[in-house]
Amino acid sequence: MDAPVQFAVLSIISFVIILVSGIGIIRSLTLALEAKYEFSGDSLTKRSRLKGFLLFGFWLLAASVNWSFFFDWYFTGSSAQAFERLADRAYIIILILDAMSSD
Amino acid sequence: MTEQITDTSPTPWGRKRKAVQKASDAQSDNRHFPCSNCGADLRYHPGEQKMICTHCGAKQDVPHVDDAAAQVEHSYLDFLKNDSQMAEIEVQSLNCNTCGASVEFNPDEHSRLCPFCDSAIVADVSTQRKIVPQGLLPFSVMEKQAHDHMKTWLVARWFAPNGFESQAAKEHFSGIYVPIWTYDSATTTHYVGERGTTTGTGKNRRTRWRSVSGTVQRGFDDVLVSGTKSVSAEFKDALGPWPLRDLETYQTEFLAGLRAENHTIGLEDGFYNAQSFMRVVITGDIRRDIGGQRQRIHSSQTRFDNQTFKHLLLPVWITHYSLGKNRYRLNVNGRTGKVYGQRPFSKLKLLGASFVMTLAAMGIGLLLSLASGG
Repeated sequence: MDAPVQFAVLSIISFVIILVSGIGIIRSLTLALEAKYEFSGDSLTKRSRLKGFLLFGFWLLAASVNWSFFFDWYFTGSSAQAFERLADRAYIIILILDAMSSD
Repeated sequence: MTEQITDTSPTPWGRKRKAVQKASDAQSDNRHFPCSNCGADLRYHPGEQKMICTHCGAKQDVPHVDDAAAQVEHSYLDFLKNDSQMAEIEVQSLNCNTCGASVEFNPDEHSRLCPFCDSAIVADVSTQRKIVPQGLLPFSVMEKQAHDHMKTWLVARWFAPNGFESQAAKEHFSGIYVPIWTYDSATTTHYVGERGTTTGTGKNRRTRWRSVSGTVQRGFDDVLVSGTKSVSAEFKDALGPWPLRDLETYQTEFLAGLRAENHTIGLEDGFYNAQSFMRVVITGDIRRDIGGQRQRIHSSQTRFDNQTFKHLLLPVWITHYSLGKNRYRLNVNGRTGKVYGQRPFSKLKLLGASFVMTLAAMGIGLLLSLASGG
């Protein structure tokens, strides 16, 4: 593996960032779940709270893709190859999101 | 006669207009009802739905008044033109500088804590004109039941600190009638926009836009708007639905032993807030009317016809509880027992959940990597 120290430091920093950002995400997900059952259907507050689901989805997607980069780096031993796969994956995700938004 | 307001200016209610009807029959708002047995005060009892003497326990029915007056819709424009028959009275009120609540002043009361935000109220007693509510929903949930509902609600909170429900259970509730406005209106909206039709996929995806215009109509019935700044839209939305079919004509007997807040949001501002809600719904209607896969709305003009309103009081049990340095407010619908309130989060529990989700994301990342050849 190229630059094992760099790999270790970056993965730890990544872990901490995802963990800390997850606190706020879980909080907004909880509020969205509560709003789903407690607010009436036409409530404006409910509509704004339900964005918590979307936020959680993006967070999980971003975190998963981030970890896939580190696993690629670990398995291939090359950060350059991991970046290539990351770019391919990001392109596929953009295509999927694009297709979903047009439905 | 059709009453029309064409909604073209961004702030249709910008001009301040004194739209009040002086009370020709200003009524006394006396809240003291002496017991016929012993002379002590009678209080309204939500469970019995009667007035009960605080001293000898004698019961007395609330005098029956025709409920029809509570359901009468008043013409909004007639009211603004000052030819409404709605009465106004002058009341002494305690004003909270923190949350803006204006609670009716009771000289016998020693507590000077705002029931809405729990901050100390400096004895800022002022006399205000207020429109007398035409109806109210009497309390039917008792304080003990409100406690039970609150406990059930608190226990169901995810990621809440341990033991906070027992902290909340120690607190007492204040029974408060909160003022609201309800508005009805028929709306007609002319719009100009574009309908987008998408063809192809991926890089070849194209959206073809076609100009469209049209008209959508919708009637709104009983759009609830808070009549007070101390109760946010969030609380009003969460405590609903309110069974407005059970409205009773306003009688001070229902308020005996309880408190009522004066409206601090006027009729015009209330209608402006109702319009904000109506516009969101109308925008959805326009999008459906445009059709296609994507929509653009360039302009829309809404005409509001036959606007009517009601001014009502809704029953809410309010309490505050402490956790650490923070105070949290909890409301219970005094009619249905539905609970909504501010809730604390345990940072440790959130961190634990975030840790689990981070590990889950790691697992998904591993699967993605293995699927790409490892």
